[in-house]
Amino acid sequence: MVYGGWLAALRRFAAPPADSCDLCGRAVAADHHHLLESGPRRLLCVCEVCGEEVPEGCRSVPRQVRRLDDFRIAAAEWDALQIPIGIAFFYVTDDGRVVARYPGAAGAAESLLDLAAWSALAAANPVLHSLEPEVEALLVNRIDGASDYYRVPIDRCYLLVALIRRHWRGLSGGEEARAAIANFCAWLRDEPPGLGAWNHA
Amino acid sequence: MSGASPQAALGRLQELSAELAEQQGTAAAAARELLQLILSLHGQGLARIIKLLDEHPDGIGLLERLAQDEQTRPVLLLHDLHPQDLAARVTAAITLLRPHLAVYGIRVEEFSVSNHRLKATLYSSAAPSLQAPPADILRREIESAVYELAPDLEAITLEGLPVPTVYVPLTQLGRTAHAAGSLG
Repeated sequence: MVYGGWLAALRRFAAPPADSCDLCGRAVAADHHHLLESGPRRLLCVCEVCGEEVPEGCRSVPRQVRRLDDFRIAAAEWDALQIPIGIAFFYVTDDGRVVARYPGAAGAAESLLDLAAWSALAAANPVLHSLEPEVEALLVNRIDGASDYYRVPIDRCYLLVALIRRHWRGLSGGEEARAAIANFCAWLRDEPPGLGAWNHA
Repeated sequence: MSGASPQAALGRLQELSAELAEQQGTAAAAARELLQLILSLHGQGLARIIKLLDEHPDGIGLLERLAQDEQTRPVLLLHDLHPQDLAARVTAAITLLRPHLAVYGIRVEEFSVSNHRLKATLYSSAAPSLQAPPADILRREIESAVYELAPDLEAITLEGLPVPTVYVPLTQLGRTAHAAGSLG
């Protein structure tokens, strides 16, 4: 695809940018936007131009992170979800199922949540009803006594997965992983809606 | 190839750059490295030439003239030696365009450059002296004028261009503009 001026095209070839749009190749800023591709579920990095006209089979990933200060989940309710580790994210699929993903010794594990347990949680926390399917998730951090709940775009979750994959050791993660998770959540708390330097692992 | 006009050469350069940018193989990688080396060699040499010109009493104002000359301007731009930055060159291009657009009853109300992208909003002002060309032709005219001074722009987004591709008779122009809001 040929666009922009001749010098822009030449520079794109001679000095490819570190981060470029997956659709058109233009350079993208660090806090760039993502699209979620449906078929094989994957994230596409997009520039402002491509992000505005979302192609077939893709949908826009929201930009905002919201900390859920009013989120309520009792220990028993958490146990009922049967997540063996204190860090996980949950998203609703297009066909109404709820997927949970969490780290483990063998990498990221995925499980389908019991819908009754999720409905009970949503009854106490109506925000869960407004999660946009596929592209938004509930992120839970209960590691080391934390009690953090966030409504996050799905690209943040993938970033967390990558971080964990890099640092996770053994069954419970190890020091490095816990520090990485703590840093990640601290950044979620402080960061304005855009991603800044933490867009990609 | 040496007989090609500068415009044709730049067009071909752009095509080849786009083609090669999409290829992953070793030949493309070698082409990239070769290009980087040639650009570096020329760029450093030219920067030196310009510095010497600048220091020479007879060289005053020469850089400005090189920047305005159609043949030497691309060379300065290629090596990032043009005395005006992107914003200044875009402003200059739009300034040059204004009288031409005014004849069509069109003015550039606002524009901004960020991330190597230009966004400009056009408005239809009073009755034009001359019928504006169809939107796609007008768009190409504007882009061409802007890219001439700012080929390092990655995108030009023009808002407010008339959408219909048929000529709107002068007598109806005012009514159409009113109905369409900002004529876009």
